[in-house]
Amino acid sequence: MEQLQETIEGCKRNDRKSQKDLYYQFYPALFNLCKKFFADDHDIQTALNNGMMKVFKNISQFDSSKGSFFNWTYTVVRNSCLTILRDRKPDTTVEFTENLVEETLYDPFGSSGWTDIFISLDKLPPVTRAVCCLFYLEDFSIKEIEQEMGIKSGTVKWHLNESRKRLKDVLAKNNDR
Amino acid sequence: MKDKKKHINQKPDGKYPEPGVPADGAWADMKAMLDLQMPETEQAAPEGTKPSVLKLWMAIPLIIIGIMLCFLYFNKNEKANLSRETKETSKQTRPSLIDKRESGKTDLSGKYPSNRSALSHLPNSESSMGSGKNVDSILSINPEKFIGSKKTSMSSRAENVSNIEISKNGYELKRNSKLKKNFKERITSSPGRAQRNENPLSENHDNLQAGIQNYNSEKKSFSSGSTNRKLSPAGFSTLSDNNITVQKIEASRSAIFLSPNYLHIRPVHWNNNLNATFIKLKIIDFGLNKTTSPSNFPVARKENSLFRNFHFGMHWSALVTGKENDHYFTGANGKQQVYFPFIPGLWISKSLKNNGEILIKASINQYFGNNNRLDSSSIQLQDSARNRINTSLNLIKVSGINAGLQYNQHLTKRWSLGLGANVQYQQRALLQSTTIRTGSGVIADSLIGIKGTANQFKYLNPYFISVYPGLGYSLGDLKIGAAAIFPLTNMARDKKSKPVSGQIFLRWKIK
Repeated sequence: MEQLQETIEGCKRNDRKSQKDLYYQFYPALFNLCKKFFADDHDIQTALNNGMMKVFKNISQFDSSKGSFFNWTYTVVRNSCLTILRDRKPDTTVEFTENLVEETLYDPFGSSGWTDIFISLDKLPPVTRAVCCLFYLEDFSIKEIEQEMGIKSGTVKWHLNESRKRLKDVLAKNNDR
Repeated sequence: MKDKKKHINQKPDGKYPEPGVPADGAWADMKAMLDLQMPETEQAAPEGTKPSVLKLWMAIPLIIIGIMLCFLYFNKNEKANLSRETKETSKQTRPSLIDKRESGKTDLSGKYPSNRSALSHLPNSESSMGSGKNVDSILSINPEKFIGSKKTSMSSRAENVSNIEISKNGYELKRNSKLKKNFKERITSSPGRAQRNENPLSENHDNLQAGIQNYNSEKKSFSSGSTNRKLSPAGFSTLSDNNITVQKIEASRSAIFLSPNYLHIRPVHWNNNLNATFIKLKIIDFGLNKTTSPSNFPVARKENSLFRNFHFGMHWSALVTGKENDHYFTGANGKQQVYFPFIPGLWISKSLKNNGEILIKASINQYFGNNNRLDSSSIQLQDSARNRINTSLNLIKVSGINAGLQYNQHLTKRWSLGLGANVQYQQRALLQSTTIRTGSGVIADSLIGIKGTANQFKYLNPYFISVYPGLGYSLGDLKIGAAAIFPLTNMARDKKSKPVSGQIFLRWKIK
């Protein structure tokens, strides 16, 4: 903890070495986070670096009494991913009107490992992947996704339904192996 | 739901799959972004010479403001002094002179010049002092010439003329015992002179009055003996009667006391205070007439050699560029600065002969860099060429203190042609950072406003010099015009960057 605190203080002084240490320390976790939302490595890196730039710029605003530094950084980078997703408006929008209360109780990922999860997510279209990730992996509610993604709740439900359909097939094949 | 929780609240040191992009490559990209947007403090430390240079440039507008204030102060004091002197003069001289003029009495006190003969040596045109006469023309009258001309034509005056010694310096009458004796005889024998004898005049004034009377008598004898037409002492005009001459002299008495020549026709012990007052009045424009009040005389400006023909004012300028108009109102700090073109600059000029003018100006100005590239870099993320990222840094505009020296040649009354040189001290810059991925297009495009102390300023020269020919059109105290700016030196340190731009200016002359 003391080492992390020193690194944070160095980042506040805009010390490049401290920034590099922090970047390397958090890089695997944050890359993993970004990979939930994007399939392309470049998109992942863009989202990660944009998020880390916000972290370095606003590190003086971090309040340790409100939570851990990693969670704060994690949230900032995740918001950076959502910003990119919002900017990429889909060409077409669909809205699902069926009642999905029963369906949402099902978790397609279950106890799958990261490798299986990423293999499954790669089968999904970008927006469906993001909605699925937010709902099942980041514990967002439909209303929160609606707000974060800027899409209607019916559309969120449609993406969730779509993700379950596709993931069922993928996970079923994986289970058959 | 219980299983779901394992994917959130992750730890930084958890077991994660190997990232698809190596940390080194990602950090290289991150470092490039940090260098652009958050330069290191140590690298951004200003050079030792920058603060002094900054102070020097900051001093230029202050110097110009100081000169303008000095000029205003000096000019105000000068006007106040002249006004006070004029008022004092009017208070001292006017009442007595006007009283005597109105009463028709002759001033016998000797304090104020009232002799008619002293005036009579001037031609009527001079003594009346019509408008347009200046001091020089009046001073050019040679009194000896007038007296000499009378000598040749008035033989009967020989005796008295010999008694009056006229100094080379003017009409100063010196004491002469013989003259005094002759005049005393005339005065005592002349009717109506008793009053003058009773008057406690000084000896010098007695001599002056005697000389005056003697001179008048000579004129009478000359007119009666030779011709009916009476010549004025100067011989410049003819009058049929001596009374007419006297009337004209009386009519122009309001101007007489201002005559510089008259200052010399006085007793030796002339009142020093009055003398000083009259000398000061030499600077008064002689465009007066009989009805002009001395206190209302137009005051000629006592021009100081230092501030002669100096003018100053404010100016506004706006750049015209063919590129980067999207960022026209974006300041070098990255924020909107719509007000920037309305920040006035200062100028001071001096008029020269041949319709020329030298002008110095200082202002806070900005120049467009026309998006010239300052730096570029390329990062290979993976072996595939598709993952190459190219980052470029371009110059949009710079801003800072600008000082210029300009020569204007007036072609006509309104049109003028100018040529000048500017020195621009670059204090801020607006850069554009663009990141392009091969095959994917632009993936990041950001504007960066930097100060002179930022690390990115290493790409820019601290100052650059430009020349600008321009054309101006005067509308009273306003002058509008346009100029083309050609940089002589590069804005960037290592790259060739001499963007040409246009300029529209408005100049307001305060003085």
